[in-house]
Amino acid sequence: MSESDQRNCRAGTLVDGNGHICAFFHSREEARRTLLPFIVDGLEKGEKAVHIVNANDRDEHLRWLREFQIDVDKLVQSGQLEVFTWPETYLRGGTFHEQDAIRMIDQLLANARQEGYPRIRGIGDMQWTRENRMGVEDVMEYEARLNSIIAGNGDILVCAYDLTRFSGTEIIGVIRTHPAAVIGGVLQQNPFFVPPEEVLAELRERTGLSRSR
Amino acid sequence: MSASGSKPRFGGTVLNGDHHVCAFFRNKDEEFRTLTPFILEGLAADEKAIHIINANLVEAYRRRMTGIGVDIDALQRSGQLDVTSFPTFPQHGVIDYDGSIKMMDHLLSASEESGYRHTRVIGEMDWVVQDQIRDDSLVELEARLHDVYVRHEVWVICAYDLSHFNSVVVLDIMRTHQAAIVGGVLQHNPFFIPPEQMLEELRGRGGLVA
Repeated sequence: MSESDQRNCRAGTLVDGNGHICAFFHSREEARRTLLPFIVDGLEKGEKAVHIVNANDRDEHLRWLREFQIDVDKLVQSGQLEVFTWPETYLRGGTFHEQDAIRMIDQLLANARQEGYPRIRGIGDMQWTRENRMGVEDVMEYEARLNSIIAGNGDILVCAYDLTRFSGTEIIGVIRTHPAAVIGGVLQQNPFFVPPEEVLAELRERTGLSRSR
Repeated sequence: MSASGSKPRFGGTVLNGDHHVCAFFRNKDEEFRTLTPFILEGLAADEKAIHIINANLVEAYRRRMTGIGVDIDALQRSGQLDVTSFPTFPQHGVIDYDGSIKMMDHLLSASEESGYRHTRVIGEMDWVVQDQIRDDSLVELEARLHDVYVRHEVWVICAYDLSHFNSVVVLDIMRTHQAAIVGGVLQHNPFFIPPEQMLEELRGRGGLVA
């Protein structure tokens, strides 16, 4: 295991109070290499794992976990591991509603707590924002607001971004909305994080009155 | 100016041991608004200024500088300001690395020999787009210039207009600078990696020119 992988293994201690993490990858291989120790670590600690993937990738995702001696069937049966697809989560009804998505995540966190798990480790494949669906342009608002619902509760949500699919402007927006970031396989506290209210005010200013909330 | 030298500030953050800074902007207005205090502060403190501006953008640059009351001609005559650009081979989309490194090393040494205690460099990175420089070629230049900058008494700000760059290159640029200005705020950059490591990674991706 590389040094950076070990670093991610310790994500739980590194990110206390900063559970909303963006992670940037050049390829699926890099994403998997980086995230596996983080997933395994959480499962071993009896934490809840929630993975949100493209529907087309679901079977392949489970196959990949099995490859590393993760007893997927048992974990799914017990409820410790839940794998959702985009239409089941971010894109319910085929479109993205930022407030619904926030409620969805909030519900996931509440359920896990009710089920008695000490923490959620969630991983979301953010490629859904590249889908030609209504509302996906509100993703920055979603990313900003997410900080309010997971701040300080110990849960960890990793938003995984495939670098090849985003512009420089978008990636800087992502960096500014996450208090911690994984870049080059290494997790760091992110000094470029901006409080959600500030980001939301900027977004309102930039988009004028196009969003009535 | 105090004996300790002036300390560039952005939003309360002081640029301490960091020499090489990247700055990301949405547009030229934001860039200029953010960098103006840094430029003026250095000139007022009798520091050397080197501005790297693409030849076809020099006119716009002169207008902006004149607008904030900077007499470019007088400063160039006195030697306090150099306006220059990097040597490139645009037809191949690559940069003349050795020429660029030699040029910067020479300019910075000359500024020290002329008695300037500090130099502030602004690199407007628009030329990269104009000359259609390949992304990996740009990142390699940044990594290699880093070694030059840390040998001198210099603060270098490489200014990037985000609308021209993709996410891969923006993150690589972030990782080759010790500090970064994002949203107008300067921060020490924990994502910085040593240039050698960056070059190694570029080689691993199969994209290194040299």
